[in-house]
Amino acid sequence: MNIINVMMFGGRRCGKTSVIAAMKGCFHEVFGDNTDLDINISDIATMDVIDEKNAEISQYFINKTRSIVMNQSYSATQGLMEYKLDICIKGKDGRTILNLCDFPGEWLDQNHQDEQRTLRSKIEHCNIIVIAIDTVYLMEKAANHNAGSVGIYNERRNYCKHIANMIKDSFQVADGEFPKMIMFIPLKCEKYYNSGEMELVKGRIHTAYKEIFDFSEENKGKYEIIIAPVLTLGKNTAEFSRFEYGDDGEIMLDKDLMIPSMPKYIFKDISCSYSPKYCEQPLLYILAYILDLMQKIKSNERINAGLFKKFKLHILETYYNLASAQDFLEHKKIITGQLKMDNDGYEIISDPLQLKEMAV
Amino acid sequence: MGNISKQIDEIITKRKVRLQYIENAREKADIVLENMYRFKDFQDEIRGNIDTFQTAEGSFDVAGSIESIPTDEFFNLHKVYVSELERIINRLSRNNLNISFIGRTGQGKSLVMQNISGLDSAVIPSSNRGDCTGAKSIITNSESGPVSAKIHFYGKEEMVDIVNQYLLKLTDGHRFIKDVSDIPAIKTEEMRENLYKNKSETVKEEDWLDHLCKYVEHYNDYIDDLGSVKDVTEREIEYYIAQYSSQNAEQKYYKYLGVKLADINTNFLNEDAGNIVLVDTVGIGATSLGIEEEMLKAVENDSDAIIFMFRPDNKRGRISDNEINIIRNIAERVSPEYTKEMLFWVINRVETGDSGDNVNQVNDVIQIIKQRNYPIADVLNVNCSSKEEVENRLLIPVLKQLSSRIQDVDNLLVDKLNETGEKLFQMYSQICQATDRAFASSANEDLKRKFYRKINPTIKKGLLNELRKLYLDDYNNLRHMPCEELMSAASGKFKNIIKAVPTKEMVMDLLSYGDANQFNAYEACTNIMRMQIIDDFTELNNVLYDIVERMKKKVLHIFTDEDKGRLGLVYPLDCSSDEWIDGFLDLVEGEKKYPFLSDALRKFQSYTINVQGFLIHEIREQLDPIDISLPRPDGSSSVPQISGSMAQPELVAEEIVEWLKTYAEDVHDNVEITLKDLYKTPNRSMFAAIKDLYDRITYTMADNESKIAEEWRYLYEDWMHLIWKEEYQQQSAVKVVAEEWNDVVSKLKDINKHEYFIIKN
Repeated sequence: MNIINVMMFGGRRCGKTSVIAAMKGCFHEVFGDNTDLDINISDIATMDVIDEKNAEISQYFINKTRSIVMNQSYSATQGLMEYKLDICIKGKDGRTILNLCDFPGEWLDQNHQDEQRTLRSKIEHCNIIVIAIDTVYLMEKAANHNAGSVGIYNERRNYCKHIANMIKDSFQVADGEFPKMIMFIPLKCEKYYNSGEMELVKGRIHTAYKEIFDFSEENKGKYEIIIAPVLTLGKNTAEFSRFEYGDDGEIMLDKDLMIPSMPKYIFKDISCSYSPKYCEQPLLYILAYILDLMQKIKSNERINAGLFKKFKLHILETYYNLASAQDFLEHKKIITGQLKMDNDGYEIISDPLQLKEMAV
Repeated sequence: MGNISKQIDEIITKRKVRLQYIENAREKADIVLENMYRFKDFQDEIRGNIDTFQTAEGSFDVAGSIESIPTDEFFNLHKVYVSELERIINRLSRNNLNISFIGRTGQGKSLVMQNISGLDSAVIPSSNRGDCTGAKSIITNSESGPVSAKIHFYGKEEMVDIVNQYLLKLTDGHRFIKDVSDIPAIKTEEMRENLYKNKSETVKEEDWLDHLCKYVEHYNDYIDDLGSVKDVTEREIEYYIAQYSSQNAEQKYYKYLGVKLADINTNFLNEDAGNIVLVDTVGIGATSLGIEEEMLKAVENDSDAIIFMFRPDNKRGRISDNEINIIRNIAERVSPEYTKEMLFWVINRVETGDSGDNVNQVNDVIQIIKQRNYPIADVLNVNCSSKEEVENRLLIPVLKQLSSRIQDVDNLLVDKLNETGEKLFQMYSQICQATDRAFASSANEDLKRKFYRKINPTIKKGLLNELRKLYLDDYNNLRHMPCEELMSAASGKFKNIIKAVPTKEMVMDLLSYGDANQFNAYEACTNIMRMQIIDDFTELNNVLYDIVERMKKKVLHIFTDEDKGRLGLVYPLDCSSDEWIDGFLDLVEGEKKYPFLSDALRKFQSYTINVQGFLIHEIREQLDPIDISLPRPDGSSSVPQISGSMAQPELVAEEIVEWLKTYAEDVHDNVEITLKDLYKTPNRSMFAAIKDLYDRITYTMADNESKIAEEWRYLYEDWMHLIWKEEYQQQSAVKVVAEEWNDVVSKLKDINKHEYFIIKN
């Protein structure tokens, strides 16, 4: 049994749990009729939290008002949460456990040193880091319209530099190790999608997380780096309107964090319906990573095996349904074919898994 | 003490405070006059000894220049200024507020005053039988004691003047008297015969003669009283001011002929009347001479509020030329601004009486007055025979207006005085400038050579090099930096973009207007917001003005400082840059004598930065999201979706506000980003302005010669008598004149300041 650890990163209330919720929402789409892959939830209780999150989002559409303030009623993640998923090829033996690790965004604040030590030890055993980005804070209140500048509240909301430091310190890949994956997921980017500004979003991610990109460049071939935006509400639904102002004409700020306390979103078309877009992509990328990793493990196992073990593996794979490297490669090809790799803010920046090549 | 009387007391107290400033100004006016007389004496001295003064090189006439400086106009205006000052001093010194009653005879003046003061017709004569009031009287509200009066009689000289008015008129200026004792000898019979003989006599002339006869025939009635003041009881007052007895019209009185003023004290009927004085004037149209002028003087000198009494004819509701002329003359004398605040036109409504009622005519007259927009405070419809109406419809409205507006009227008067003061100051400054010019260009060639060693370094090192340092060291660095002041001021304006979003209540008002729907209301809001935002950003002009003015002052300090260009010794920099350039070029006759230099300074003077030039169009472009007349960049409509029906205006208003806030945010962010690139503009622009000035005053060439260098030299040579005053005095050929002259002129110039002519209001 193999375990793949995925860690969700991002500031408080920026949407880490939403990413997991979005992934769960599209299990059927990903594991449906197109593949022989199968997924099972190991721990039903923890998934209740995810269901709550999905219910909150759909609630915006049921009692629709012209403007909304997101994440106000939803309770923040309490402590470290792990969501375990069993992934296997139908009819084959050999399970992979996908362990999604979520933690409160507050832990990234300076006054949570103990928690950060826990995080660092988790990161060291982690294969994939997903960085959820609150796109509104990345984009709004920037000095200009260029990719080179980001919103003045971005750092305080998305902890870009802090996350970069943690990655550089604890998410290292030793020479000869399998590559790891870093996936940036810009969230709440409906406004920029609707106004055709996703390239700018992408550009600003490069600016805000420059240290991570530079680190990856220094460690060529060790990190698969992807930008994969997700529209959790959907095209032409609710988009960012403004950070609410007080009577004095100043933006209302959270006293502790010194970031806008009330981001407001507006339904431009009140008759629109919930239509999330690209929610499956993070899961597809994770699967592509898992399948690639499993294929390589299997291949290595066979290459390194002695004659007797090679014979034993052949028997198990041929007669006893043990999943083979070839099985994983075939499924990786299927999954890769569904990956979105460009346009609408998508980009594969570093590709040691050769996903782009395989997609062609 | 009631509310009105308390307010009147407060006004009087405040007037006393202000009075100190006016009296101070009066003292300063004397100092100014004293200095001017010294100057005039000096001129006279030169005039008397013109041949003894040398002229430098025999070609420049310093004495002639000094002697020909005109001063007459100044002295005339100074007289007017002082008389205006004294009028205000009198006004503010009073311990009461004065209400003057004016009007033609028989309009009800005395009746109204009786009903205010409680005095009867024995004290304030009123009658339907022609002229009844013989003398001007004032009635003071006095809380204690019985009714009493002080009767002030004319002096003998004043009486001579009064009698001569009639004599001169009747004899075409041929006859007049010199002494009051000549009055009994005036041959009135002979004059009457001549009138008949000439057959050209008019009713007026006969009336004048009748009046003259009274002075002659009743000489003994008043002669002993002239020049005196008498205290009299209530019962005796009529005897001195009326023309006949109130009890018996056959009983004639002539004491009034010698009375100048009856000052009566009594307790008014209204308890809250406070410290007020009623000023009764003799009815206009009375045949006595000088009545109208007397009335105008009373209005000008003794009035706070003016009541113009008018009783419309009982047959025709119209206004005659007489009334119009009275209003016009008063407005001319005290200014329409004054009369609009303090002249009340009282329409005397007669409901019963011998000559019938005029109730039907009153409304017509009031309507005409209102339509014609006369310069009056109000028109009051009052039955003057009713005590109650006089109190409620006349006295109380007038007192209320007085207590609330009189301070503004006082301000107005001080403003008018300051207008005269400003004119006087301009004249004074011109005289000072003329004194500066008197010695300009007086240096001979020897002197110029001697001063060359001072002139050359002052121009090159003191002025041009310092200016070069300013643009190189300061503004060259600054031009790469944003203008901090503009940035800071603009940040306030960004907030105002958000504040420009109308409130829900305002939107609901718009929705309730006529048949406006939600889209009309939304459009109206965006229209208001755009204009408000542009207006607000246009206010940044004030900041830019200050920045530019500061830069100009820095430049001009280089021109004027004693250790730099020294030109402040010719014309001091104690004013705005604009005023300095105007004043300096005017004084040195720059356009005529130093055209290239003047051109450079004028160009520098006209330099300005305003938001209209570099900012507003950029801001306007960012307002597109709140302009529904313009489609969105993608071609879609700019009108947002507004759900909800007009039956729920509150919900609709909420939606509109949400949309407006959303687009205001877009505007806010885009404007903020757009302006970031423009903050450097003022610094870059100011660098260019200084550099341009430097180039012009350093390199201007004409006919292959450095004309500007020549002009600089001429300027310093021409004005060396002020730039290096002491050295010049020592070496000048006109040393003797110069020393005394400098003494006179320096005293003159010491007070060439606004504060000597203008009162802070």
